Amino acid sequence: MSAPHAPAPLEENSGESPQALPVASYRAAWRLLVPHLGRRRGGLVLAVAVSLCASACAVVPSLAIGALVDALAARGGMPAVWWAVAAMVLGLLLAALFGWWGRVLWARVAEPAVAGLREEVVDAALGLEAGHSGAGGRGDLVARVSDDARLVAGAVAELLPTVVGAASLLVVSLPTLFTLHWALGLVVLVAVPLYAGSLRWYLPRSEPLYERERERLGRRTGRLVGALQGQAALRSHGWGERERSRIERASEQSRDAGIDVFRMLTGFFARNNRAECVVMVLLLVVGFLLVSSGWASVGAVTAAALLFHRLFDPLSALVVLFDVVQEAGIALRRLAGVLTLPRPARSVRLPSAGRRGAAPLGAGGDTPEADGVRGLRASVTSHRYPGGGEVLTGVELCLVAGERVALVGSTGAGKSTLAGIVAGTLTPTEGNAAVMAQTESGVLDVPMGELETPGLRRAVCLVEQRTHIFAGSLRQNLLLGVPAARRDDDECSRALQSAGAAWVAELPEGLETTVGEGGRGLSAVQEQQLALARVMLIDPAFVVLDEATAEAGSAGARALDRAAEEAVRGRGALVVAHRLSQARDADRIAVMEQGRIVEQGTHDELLALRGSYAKLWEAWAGR
Amino acid sequence: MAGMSSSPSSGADLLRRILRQHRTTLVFSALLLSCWTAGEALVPGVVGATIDTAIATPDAGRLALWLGALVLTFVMLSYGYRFGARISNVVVQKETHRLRTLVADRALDARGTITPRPAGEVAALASSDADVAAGVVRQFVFGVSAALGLLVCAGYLLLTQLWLGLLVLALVPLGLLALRLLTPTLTRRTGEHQEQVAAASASVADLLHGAPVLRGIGAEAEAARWFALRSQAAASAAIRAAGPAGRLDAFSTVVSGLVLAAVAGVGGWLVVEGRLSPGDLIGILGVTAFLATPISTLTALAEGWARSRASAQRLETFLREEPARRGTERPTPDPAAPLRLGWSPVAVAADERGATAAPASPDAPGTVRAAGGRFTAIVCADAGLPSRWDESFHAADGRATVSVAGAVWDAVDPTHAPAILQASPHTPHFFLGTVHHNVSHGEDVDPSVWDAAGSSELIAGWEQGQRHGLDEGGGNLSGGQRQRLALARALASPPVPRILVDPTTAVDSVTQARIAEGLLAWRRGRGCGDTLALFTSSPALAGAADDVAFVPHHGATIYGRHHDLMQRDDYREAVGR
Repeated sequence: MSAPHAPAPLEENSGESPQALPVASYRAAWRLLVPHLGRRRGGLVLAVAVSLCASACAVVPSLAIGALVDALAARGGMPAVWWAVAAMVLGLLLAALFGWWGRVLWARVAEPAVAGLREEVVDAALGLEAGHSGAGGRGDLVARVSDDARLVAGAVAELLPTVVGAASLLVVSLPTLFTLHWALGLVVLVAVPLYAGSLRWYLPRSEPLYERERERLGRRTGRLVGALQGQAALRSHGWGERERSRIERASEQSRDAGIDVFRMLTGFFARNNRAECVVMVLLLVVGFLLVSSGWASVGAVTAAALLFHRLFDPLSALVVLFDVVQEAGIALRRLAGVLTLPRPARSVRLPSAGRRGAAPLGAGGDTPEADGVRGLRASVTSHRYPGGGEVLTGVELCLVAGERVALVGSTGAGKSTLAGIVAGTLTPTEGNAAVMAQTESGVLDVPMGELETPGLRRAVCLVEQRTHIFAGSLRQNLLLGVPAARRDDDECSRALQSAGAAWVAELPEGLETTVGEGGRGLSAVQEQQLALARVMLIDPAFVVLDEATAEAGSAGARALDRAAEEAVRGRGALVVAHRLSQARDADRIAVMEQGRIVEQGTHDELLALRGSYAKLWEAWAGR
Repeated sequence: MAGMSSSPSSGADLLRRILRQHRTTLVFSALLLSCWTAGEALVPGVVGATIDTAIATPDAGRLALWLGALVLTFVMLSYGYRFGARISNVVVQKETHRLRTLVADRALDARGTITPRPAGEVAALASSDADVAAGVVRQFVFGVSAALGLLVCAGYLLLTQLWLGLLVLALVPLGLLALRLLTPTLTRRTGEHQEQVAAASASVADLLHGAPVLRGIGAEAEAARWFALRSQAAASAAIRAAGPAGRLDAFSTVVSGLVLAAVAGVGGWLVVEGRLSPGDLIGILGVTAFLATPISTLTALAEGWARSRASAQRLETFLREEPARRGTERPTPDPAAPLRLGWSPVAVAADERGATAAPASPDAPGTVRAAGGRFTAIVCADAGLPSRWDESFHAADGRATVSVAGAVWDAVDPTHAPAILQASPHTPHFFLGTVHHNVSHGEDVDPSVWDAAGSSELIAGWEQGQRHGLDEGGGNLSGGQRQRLALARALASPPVPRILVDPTTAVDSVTQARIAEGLLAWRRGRGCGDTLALFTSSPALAGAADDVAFVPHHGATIYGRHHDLMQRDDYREAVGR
């Protein structure tokens, strides 16, 4: 046996997978959000209108003060004061009411829009093939769907109201400044290049910092989630301490990124203060020149200074918004990045066979779609996973309806990969897999990647060694993927009975028992029994069982064997098995070695061949 | 989250502790930030004074003087904010990091928690709740600076016009008091919103974990609909929370606006009466207008505190969770310690285990001995026993017991446990990282381990060998690959007694035989020192073992060698296929 490669010296980020999930471009990300906002166009228009009203009302108090100062300078009496106060009170009451309403309206637009986007991302993430979804770690995905989505939701809810508010204040104030004196108006315009310069300094510097911050946050969450899920392993190996320090390091990096980002932000604010200061000083100097030359009144200069001072807040709000936009933009791009991963366009429906040539009643299933499935075909020139060598080379495998084929061979021969390809959950790097469907004009190969999911799963289902019980009721878990027509209680209990899961009926709450994380724990055998019962309910034309009965260990293997037997009854099957007793009775046994099928035949034929299978059998029998 | 055990004040206590710990830094930061608020408050006053004294009666010298003062005010406010905010942000980041670390420590504590929590929920505690709770630092420093800003404003107003100043000082606390009355509704709504968000995150983690299962049966769309329900519940909760939050905003606008209107009214009257100059009124109105900022900061304080307290409450509840494993004994580690495994059909409470785990006869039914320093294969006639034992042992439900050299496992200090015994769960978990990291967590691996685990070829087949990257959960490994790497992981640790449960069920028979040989070679290489108890039904492994403990359907465990036991029909059936 060759010595394994010695590990290279480990650097700080040892154990980090090099591939990460992609990040979409701004344009692509925006294109993904717009439809979700567009769906709520009416609400959006109303929210903009209400925000506009709120800002318009918010300007009233400043204008009223201006009018009051003018009136008092012109020796006006108490009526002017009353009018001003009344206008102020009315304006602020309306502004408050509109603001309140606007906030609710914006939440109604933004939250569902972001929820929609978030759901779209989860939908896409669930459809990712093995090897793509995991590349950046599940934690990264979780971080994107929770943290990043929260940022985007907050930004959408904050962005537009602030833009509308600030813009309407500017719209009201700037013309007023020019009417006071054109020179005063021009001085205030000097603010534009100053603020622009500040943005030009800030944006390019902060973007990489924000990206780093988000990325570290994703890693931080990923490490924690990974450690939580592998707690039992950490505990038994005493790795808890080291894993904790790894998590702590990730958290430290995230903390440092947060500190750097904020330093940059305060530098940006300081530049904005500088702009305010320069313009205010200029305004007073110009005012001094105007007044001392007699070109403008003291009142005009006063009003201009007050108006510009009133603009400090909306202006900096507007500028800070670029920051929100940038941070949320990165979050949005990360969300959208998940959607840019290639997904097969599953649009082709399984051709209906019509009644002609339907399988005998009771076999194969009673949906017309399943009737039309004549076989499965995989022809793989080559398959490799990212970062790995070739797993399959020149493999052809064809299953016909009702046929039971066993796939055996040493570990790592590529059995699971072939099983995944035959079941349509993996796309071969080179080659193709197809469902052979009966149509009016004969048997047609429909590529699996193009077949819509319900049709594909009516044709073939995959049960793997690894199970997962989702947080929810037993019923929810059992009925996952089961067509609506087969969801009644009789069908369920029949399937559970066949799968040997009579224990469900004995639970006090039966099918309503809460299972999965935070619920009742199930044994590996029970989990697999549920998975097999589920496949019986889905009732596909073919099943692929990839070591479906192995995880239970030798324990309960026999009970599961019987369940698997039931699941296979009446349909075609590809069974990957290490326990050769499962293979012995198959119609055909395919033996794999190093990514190829090396022998095919019945048990007796293969024993007579005295090749790989005979060797496996001998070792299996153990005598 | 129903059934919280901690008192309602504990969230607030956590927040107070944070503030107390960084007292000095925070006071310094608050003072700097107060320079900022004071500066912001003074700008209109300085501008008003410039206009009054240097522009109304043009005087270039005075203009230069006042402009200098204005620039100084700007310098003060700009640097005050810059450094004050930076200092408090560093504290926020440090505290968030500390809370995150506490959550991770508690979650990964070897003693476990009584109520198991979904990974996503714990992740939400460590990210959003830690963030929000540490936000209390910001609330404190900005609250103090706003209060001081208010004082500066009030001082200016009192000096310029006593009655106006008093008016402001009377109105502002009244408004804040009214705002407090609105806060309780908001706490409930935001708490609900945050819980819904946590539920949605937990749901994502759960669904993505089971994604391969979903793909195999075409239930991706259905699972996505499950998530959509959670996600929409979170969105609706956020919308419901927007109402009270908006009301609070509206109220704060009204309060600051009313103060301004009152000052404008009284000030205007004073000008009409001739007791105030128009120039002073400009300054007073400017300062009063600025009041909106500190007032809204102070009112937002109520909302922020409510949110932080809700988060801190959740953190405290989690951090104070009772441990599930409470052993305290620390026996001396001995790799060659003899083991005794036991199981009972009923759970035994943790307190009683010490008594029940030491039965009168060591050979009573339901126990298996593994002699010290030897390799014992445990073969069970009841094929379900090993997995039941494995699950009960790791769930610590009291049905599976172990004693190591007479020390009852449940009484052993959980942090000390890995040095006493290694019992890896049958279903291995793999972490995002390299193979090497997953097998030895960064330590060097003895090459014979790879052979013993039948993994040498596996490693050689990867372009990067041991540096081959694994997905979270080992999604890119086949069942056989996972088992072999798990076996390598179990063997790679320093010498310790080991219990392995059905380690080769997903491995073909030829490889099983090779693993059996490799295991023997590995034990020889180690000088045969470690105790190894291995549940199996593989004849190859049973044949390689020093002893076989056969657990028949009824009666006590029978000990012997594989070929002797093969005379028994029930044993043959148990290792037969």
